[in-house]
Amino acid sequence: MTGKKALVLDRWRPNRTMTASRPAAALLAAGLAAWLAGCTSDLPNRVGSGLVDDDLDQSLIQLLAADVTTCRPLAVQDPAVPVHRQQVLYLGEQEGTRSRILANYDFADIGDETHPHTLFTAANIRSVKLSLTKLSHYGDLTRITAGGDTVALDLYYEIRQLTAPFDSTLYAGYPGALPPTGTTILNQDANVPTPGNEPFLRLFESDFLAWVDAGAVVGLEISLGAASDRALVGYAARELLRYSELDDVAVGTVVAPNFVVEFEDNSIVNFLLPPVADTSTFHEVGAPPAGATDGILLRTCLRSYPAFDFDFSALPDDVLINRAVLRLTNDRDVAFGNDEAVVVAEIDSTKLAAAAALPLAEMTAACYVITGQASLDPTVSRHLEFDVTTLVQRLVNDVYAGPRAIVLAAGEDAFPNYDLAAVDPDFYFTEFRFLGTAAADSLRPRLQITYSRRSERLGGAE
Amino acid sequence: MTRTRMLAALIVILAPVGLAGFADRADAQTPFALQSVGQRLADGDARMLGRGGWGLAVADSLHPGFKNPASTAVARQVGLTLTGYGETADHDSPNASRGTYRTYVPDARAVVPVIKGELAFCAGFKLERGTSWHTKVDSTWSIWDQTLSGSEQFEREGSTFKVPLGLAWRAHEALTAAVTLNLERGSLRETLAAYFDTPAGHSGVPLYRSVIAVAEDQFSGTSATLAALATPARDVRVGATLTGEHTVSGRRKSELGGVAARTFTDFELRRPAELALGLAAGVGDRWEAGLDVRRQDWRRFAAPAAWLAQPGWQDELVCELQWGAGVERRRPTARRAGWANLPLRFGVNWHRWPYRVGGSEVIERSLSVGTGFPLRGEAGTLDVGLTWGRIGDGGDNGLSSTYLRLAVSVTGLEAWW
Repeated sequence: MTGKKALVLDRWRPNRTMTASRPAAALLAAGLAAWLAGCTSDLPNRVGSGLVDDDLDQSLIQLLAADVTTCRPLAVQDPAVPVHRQQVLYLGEQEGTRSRILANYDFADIGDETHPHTLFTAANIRSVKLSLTKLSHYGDLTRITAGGDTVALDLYYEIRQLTAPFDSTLYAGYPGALPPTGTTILNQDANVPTPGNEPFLRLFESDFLAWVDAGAVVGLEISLGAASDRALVGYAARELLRYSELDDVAVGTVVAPNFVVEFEDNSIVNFLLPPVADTSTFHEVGAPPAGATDGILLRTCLRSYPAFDFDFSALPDDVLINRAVLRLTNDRDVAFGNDEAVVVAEIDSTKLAAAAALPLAEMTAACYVITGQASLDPTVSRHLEFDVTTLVQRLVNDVYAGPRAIVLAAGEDAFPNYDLAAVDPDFYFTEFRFLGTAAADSLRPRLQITYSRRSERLGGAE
Repeated sequence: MTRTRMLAALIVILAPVGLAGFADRADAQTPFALQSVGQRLADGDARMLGRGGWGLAVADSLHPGFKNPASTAVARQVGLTLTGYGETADHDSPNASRGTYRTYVPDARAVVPVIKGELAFCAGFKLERGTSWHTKVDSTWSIWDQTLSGSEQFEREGSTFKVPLGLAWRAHEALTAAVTLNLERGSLRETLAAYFDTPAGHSGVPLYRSVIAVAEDQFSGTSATLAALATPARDVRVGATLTGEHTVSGRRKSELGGVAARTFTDFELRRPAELALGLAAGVGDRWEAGLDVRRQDWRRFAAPAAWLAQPGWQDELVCELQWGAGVERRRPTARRAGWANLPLRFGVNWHRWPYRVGGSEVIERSLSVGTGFPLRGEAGTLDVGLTWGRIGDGGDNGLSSTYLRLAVSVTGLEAWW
């Protein structure tokens, strides 16, 4: 009895009793988990904003930096592509740049199985022409007449014989020399404009036969007559690789300036004689403005990239640049060329001070791309703006020990984000002509900076 | 209770809190905490919170009361208490309202008896003050020839905590005393931002960079607390703690997003002394009543004027006063029917915050209930406390907060030697 009572009392001890509450504890824990996990907070809103007495009283401050302290053209050369190795031959003149085409033809042992040497006689030859292949872009060029009509350009081609074949090595850079020529115009159609993307210029068979008989290298100069419309027109060179830039041509077509000999016997296919060398002369090249006053020139083909700097003295230290926009105005009346990218990069100014010309690889290596725009038509684009916030912020943060300048460049291979065109910048001759500091305030180059700063609220300051 | 069971109990309490915390990182507290020295976080374990917060006059070897370090002198086993709580709150201002949710573990305490029932070493971690609130106001700006739209946002977030390390000694049958050295640390981060959402580029990235100004303070200091617990009569106890005025060193880092330059400045805060008194007495066989009063005169608080952005913020400081009272039906010594075995707790709490808002004092009032579950073999307890409270008054302070807080504590006891 005593033992049984003791057992009962033991069951009544509190600790034994409370073990029965384990299910209750588990239930409580489960309910707690459900309650806590199901709760969410509303997003921040105005509640409590009345207690916020601190504010950003110096935010979005406007600063216009319009003083260009330095501006210089930077001639950039690609040693791998001298002028005589370019894929395009330029003919004509535009905005101070003039160019003719030089081509050498080797008449020694001309002919092949289809066209034996004996075939080249006055009796057998019906016509001799010099063929050019215009790039598609230039085939579309037009001018507006006094009557307001839009018509194709009038181009009067003139062919002269060089006193001696030209030396390609003399046409690595620019401007190139104009070699001496005979006074006689060799083509019969020099007095009429020759339309089309594949102009065939009629030559005298006698001249051609004389060159065949001589069996030597003959140099020709192709130029545009004075009556031609002012334009710098591109034609395929013997180096052309980008056939996508041409209109469709027949299979077997030689796109470089070549002789096309047509025979009386219609069963004999035309004989084509390609040049052994060709080049643009670029005997006059418009000089880029020396300073920012007269404008800023960005030119491709014969690369000239402007580098300039602004006066940042009005910009305080240690500020946040909310936005900085470089605004440029392109003078569409004088700009010309094909679509091109404009890349804004920063460059070590000391590189610029050391040389007025830089190899392409050295220039691109010295650049740090900020932004850019691809496929800009120089004859259409007027107001350009580039977000250069990161550049100005880096300047404020004193990231660089030396001075930095802004450089405008085309879509080089080294700038892959903007190298969207099928051809490199040495292909098309394009000029963007940005108005200089002498222009009206709304047109001149300027940096529109918006910045913010914070008054220091120092923990230890009284 | 084996260690395994104790660990299981800890997991039971911490898992839901942790899960909820991961599910939603909601740090919102109350907009009142934006001001001045922030909000004092709930003090004590769930047992105390369930009965109005009183706990300075506790002498229970099976349920150590860490609120008064002197209470730990009677410990006969190694004790560990973890407290966490989840809080859901509604905040109202004249123009808007907002619901928030928050979980955290503000208190972890341990006691190790050196001489059982006479001398004990106590240690712990205790969140002291905290502030966490985020505001957002939609705004527009005119700049150049554009109109920008976005929002202005302010966030203040941080806390200070203590690591009390102390000894408690039972000097006499009716008197215990303790001293703790409190390592004080903490951080406070203020973020003032203007986000310019539009105009945006084709990729959706805003054209204008947002302004994000950050000031971050790091605190470091020490303080000392003296504590005593007396039993002048049977089942009547009186407790007291005093934390002396002390200095906390601070270092501020100020930065503006995107700007490389940062500034560092050093400063000092002088915190006023804090005095707390408690009284508890048994009422009848199972009931016990208690009262705690705490006072800290923040008008004596010294800090650089520019420590907080509000001009003249120090003029708004007042003497912080808090009292909590309640009753508890203690655990039975003999089994009773059904729920009668459970301890029951009821209490009220009144708290005057240390600063004025809107020119008026901020008063917090709360009601609480609670209960607990002993673990097997007197190896600890699991306590819960539910508190409903209201902070401020819309008419006086311009806004008010109402909260519901569920606090859970687990206390484990283990005779490790």
